[in-house]
Amino acid sequence: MADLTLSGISKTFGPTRVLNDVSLSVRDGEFLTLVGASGCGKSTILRVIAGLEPQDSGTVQIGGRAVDHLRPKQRNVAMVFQSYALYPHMSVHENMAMPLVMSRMSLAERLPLLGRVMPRRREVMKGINAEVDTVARQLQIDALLGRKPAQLSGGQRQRVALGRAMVRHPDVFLMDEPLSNLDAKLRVHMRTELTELHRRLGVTFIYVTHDQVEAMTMSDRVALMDEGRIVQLGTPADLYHNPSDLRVARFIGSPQVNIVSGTTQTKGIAVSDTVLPMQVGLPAGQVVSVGLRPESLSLDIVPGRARLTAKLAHVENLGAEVFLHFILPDSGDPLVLRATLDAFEAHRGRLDQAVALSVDTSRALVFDTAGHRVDSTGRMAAQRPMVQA
Amino acid sequence: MAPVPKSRPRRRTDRLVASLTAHFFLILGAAFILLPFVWMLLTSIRPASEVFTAGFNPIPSAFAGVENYSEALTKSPLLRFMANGVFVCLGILAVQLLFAIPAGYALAKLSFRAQPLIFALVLFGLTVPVQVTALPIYIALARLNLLDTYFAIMVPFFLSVFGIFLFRQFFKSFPQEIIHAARLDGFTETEIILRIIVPSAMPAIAAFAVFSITSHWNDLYWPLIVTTSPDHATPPLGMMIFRDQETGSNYGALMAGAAIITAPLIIAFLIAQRHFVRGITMTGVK
Repeated sequence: MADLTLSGISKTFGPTRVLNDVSLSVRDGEFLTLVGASGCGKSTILRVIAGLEPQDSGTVQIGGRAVDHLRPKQRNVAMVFQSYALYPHMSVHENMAMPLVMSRMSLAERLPLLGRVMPRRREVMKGINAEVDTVARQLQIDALLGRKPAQLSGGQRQRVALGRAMVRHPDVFLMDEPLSNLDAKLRVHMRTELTELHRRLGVTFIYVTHDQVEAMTMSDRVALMDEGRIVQLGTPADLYHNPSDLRVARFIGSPQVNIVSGTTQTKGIAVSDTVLPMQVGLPAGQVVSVGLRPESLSLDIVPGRARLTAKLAHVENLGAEVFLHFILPDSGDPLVLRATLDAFEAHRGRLDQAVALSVDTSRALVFDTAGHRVDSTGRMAAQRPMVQA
Repeated sequence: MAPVPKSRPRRRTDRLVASLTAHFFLILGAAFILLPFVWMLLTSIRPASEVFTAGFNPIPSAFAGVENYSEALTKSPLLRFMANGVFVCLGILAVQLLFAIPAGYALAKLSFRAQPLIFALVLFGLTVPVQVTALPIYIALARLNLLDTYFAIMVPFFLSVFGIFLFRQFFKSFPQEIIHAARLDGFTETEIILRIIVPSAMPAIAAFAVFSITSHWNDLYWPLIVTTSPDHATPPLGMMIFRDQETGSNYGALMAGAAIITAPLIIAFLIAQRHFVRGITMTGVK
């Protein structure tokens, strides 16, 4: 178990800068998720931590000790890969035993033929087998130990890959999109299982995904990456309610945040046919983007709240809740509203015409043209100790 | 009679015609390649008197196989030639694999500064015909007093650029994540090659073995240059010596000898064929 610190990591592949001065501290036992669109550099960070790709500059520290000069296996990290990366011609048992065989046996002892006559080998192998069996039971794959990877389902391979990482009791688990090859139902199930595994092991997890739902549901903290930089690092709730950047607001949340363009005025921000009473500390006449989460809009008329007129285009009924897709008449901007089924039923009769939607401005997010958050809470968020601006 | 939709039988006959045409050309090609073999086998059981009779008679008038084959086996050290051939071919193949697999792995999966240059040299090496280097190698072997040895027959082929290229192409498609996993588990690069890469490269190794063994078993050019005695002669060279000295014009026995030295190749190919044709299958990867 160990904490982990990256300071000033940069990496280029040819002309492209994949990582741009990334610094990050992960606490001991934390579940930290790196999330971002593909190509943002999140997987490269994992490979740099593991020692599989050397960084151009910067330092990796695990448990307070710099590991830059160490080979991958000496760093005591384990990695679970997207494709599981099981050794295709070895059985499940051999796959899981391999990390222990490699660390506990000498080069001579692990030779295919000569190794058999080495005196210590039998005893060591016995210990390894016992440990593999224990981990296999924990993961409920003890019945599969004799099979080859090709004979396993995706979920079973996933468990074997986890088992291979667990047997070596690493200081840090690195997971590179481990769930993205599974079908949707199994993915939801494995989400819970991985969270439980993390709680049970109490080890530092660094988890890479492009799926914001995985990031939100599993992590203690989330780092959102874009173009080789960490845009924002915080708790899932922080990223959702208090994004420091338009990219963060867009990436986190499903359905996506509504972005409507507005103009600052002395009394607030003019959006479509209304003025949102908000102070953002910008001179009047500036163009801004206003982010409205689907739950910041409501069909009920709330006294004192600004109202936007919009026309219903499409209804998505999920059973317990309903997503109503509106269109702002003048700009054509889409606007998604999250309503309970009851609220939807109550207002159904008047939805064939343009309706007024109440806007909860206390939860609105305002960004300048560069995408930086400019409303008051946003400025507070920006002043928090953030690893990177 | 109910009207039959016209398009369907039309399409069926079209397909039949296409398939017949394809088979016609395949059979033509196969006949072209197989006919000499068939003729060799027929001649090897023909009585000597009949070999040069005029006319085209595929079926021998009398069966003289026993005499011809026994003459081929007794009047020349044919088994010695074949043992030489086996030794030379396996020796060449073993050293080729020993160098080509690690070299192919390095070119496919490791990154080092000279990699593009070395790969370019490998490609360049593919274009150099064996005859070009024959003279310098011959002179070197002569100076070292190594002519007329097994080593002399094998040495120019130890480093196979074709092998390096073939394995490099094959390893290129091997999943990088498995190699990463192996490095994290503590495999050394040599162990990665021996325990991870080689077991999954069996189809490529079989394919390369077929290429290598066929070309060196059949090679006449180089053994003819560096060997003079029948002691180290490989089968084709042995056949040549055999023809000159012993049998003169006994073509029946000569063809029997040829049939005997071709047989191991055909058998070897039939055994390796399944690997050879199966090609690249990476199970359990995705």
